[in-house]
Amino acid sequence: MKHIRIIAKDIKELPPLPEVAQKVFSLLHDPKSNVQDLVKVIQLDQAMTANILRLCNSAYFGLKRKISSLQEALVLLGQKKLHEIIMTDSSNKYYKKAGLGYNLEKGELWKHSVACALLSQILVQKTGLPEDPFLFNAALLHDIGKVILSTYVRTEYDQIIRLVKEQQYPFLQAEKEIIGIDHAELGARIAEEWNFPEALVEAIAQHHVPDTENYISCTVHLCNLMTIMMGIGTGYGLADYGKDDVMKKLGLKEKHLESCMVELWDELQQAEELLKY
Amino acid sequence: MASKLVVSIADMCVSNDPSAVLITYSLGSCIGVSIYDPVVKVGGLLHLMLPESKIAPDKAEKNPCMFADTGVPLLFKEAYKYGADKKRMIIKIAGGSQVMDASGFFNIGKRNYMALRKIFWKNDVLINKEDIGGNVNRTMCLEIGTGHVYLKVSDREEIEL
Repeated sequence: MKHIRIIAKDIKELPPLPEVAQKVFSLLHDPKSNVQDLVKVIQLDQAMTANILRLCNSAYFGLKRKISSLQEALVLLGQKKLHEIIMTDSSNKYYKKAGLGYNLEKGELWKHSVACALLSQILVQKTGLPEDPFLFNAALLHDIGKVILSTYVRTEYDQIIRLVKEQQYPFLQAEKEIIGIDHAELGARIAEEWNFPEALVEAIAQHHVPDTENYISCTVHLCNLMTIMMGIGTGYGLADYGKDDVMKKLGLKEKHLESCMVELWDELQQAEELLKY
Repeated sequence: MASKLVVSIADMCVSNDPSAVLITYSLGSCIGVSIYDPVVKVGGLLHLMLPESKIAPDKAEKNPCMFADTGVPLLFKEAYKYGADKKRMIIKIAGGSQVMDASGFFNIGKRNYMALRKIFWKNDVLINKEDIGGNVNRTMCLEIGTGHVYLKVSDREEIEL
């Protein structure tokens, strides 16, 4: 509990997501709003423009010709993909160094986050789950709390692991018991601080213990479990509950999980540029 | 100097280079299968992801290492090319972790293990050593020169399997 006050200060000091990310959120809220405004904001930042174009031209998107402007990217990839690229580019910096406290090598938390985001879209495409404009972002940012909490988990690691090993605590509950806050709750506080839409705040807060009525939380919960099962950002291990009622609610079966895992593996082979950090 | 060859997820490697160490990281519900013929000193390591290829036959054709039922035969066939013999093969497996209370949908680790046992049983092959299940994360490596298999489980010290 001794850390709580310092953690609250850390949240305030974390540099907020760039303005373009906020623009994306407002566009997602109001699809009629003008996407050209977004392009204008990005163009003011040369480094970001260059980075976004690099991602657009990566093998993952498989474009036949090289694109050299955001306008072209918008035409060829569409607004949805462009939003996803912008969010991926904007959140990259937070995950760069984080994860050590969670027994993750540098870059693994980033890979886990991108893999979850890609998997969320695979689930939608392959299983017919409904599209939701915030799903990709929720999956990408679900572990944002670890960016701050990693340092504290590292300090208290032995105590946390003792609860996991000896008393069969899920990792999340052990975090909360020892540090006073878990990474899901902390992530939601960061999301609030950054004025994220309510749907995102809730999904981040609930990604380990989802409310079955909340579609985004349930889907992100699944994506998180599937990626750690595949060994992507697994860290200490799989000390987490798998919720069968989430599967029932989403109408999914074992075979859906397996075929989506196969698809994710395939996509990750193409996603080298996205996974750079 | 040992040359470290990393076996990624849904990947395998076979070698007869005595200085080679085959290593695979982050086995969650996936299983690492190590085979070794001590006479010709040939070994292989497979990192399989799922039990059965029928879930995605096209992907299995592209990458058989993804599945137990297509990856294991390929691993053995590759080792035979270097002169390994099935009867001499020492087999060690690790991984197959589960999330907590994985009663139904999330028991992929257990199903990977059952699929492997079935394949080995059918082919009259014994699993010599195994470290399976729990909710831990494993890293596994095979030294081609000695046939020793080492295992690192979550944050514990490395042990020999």
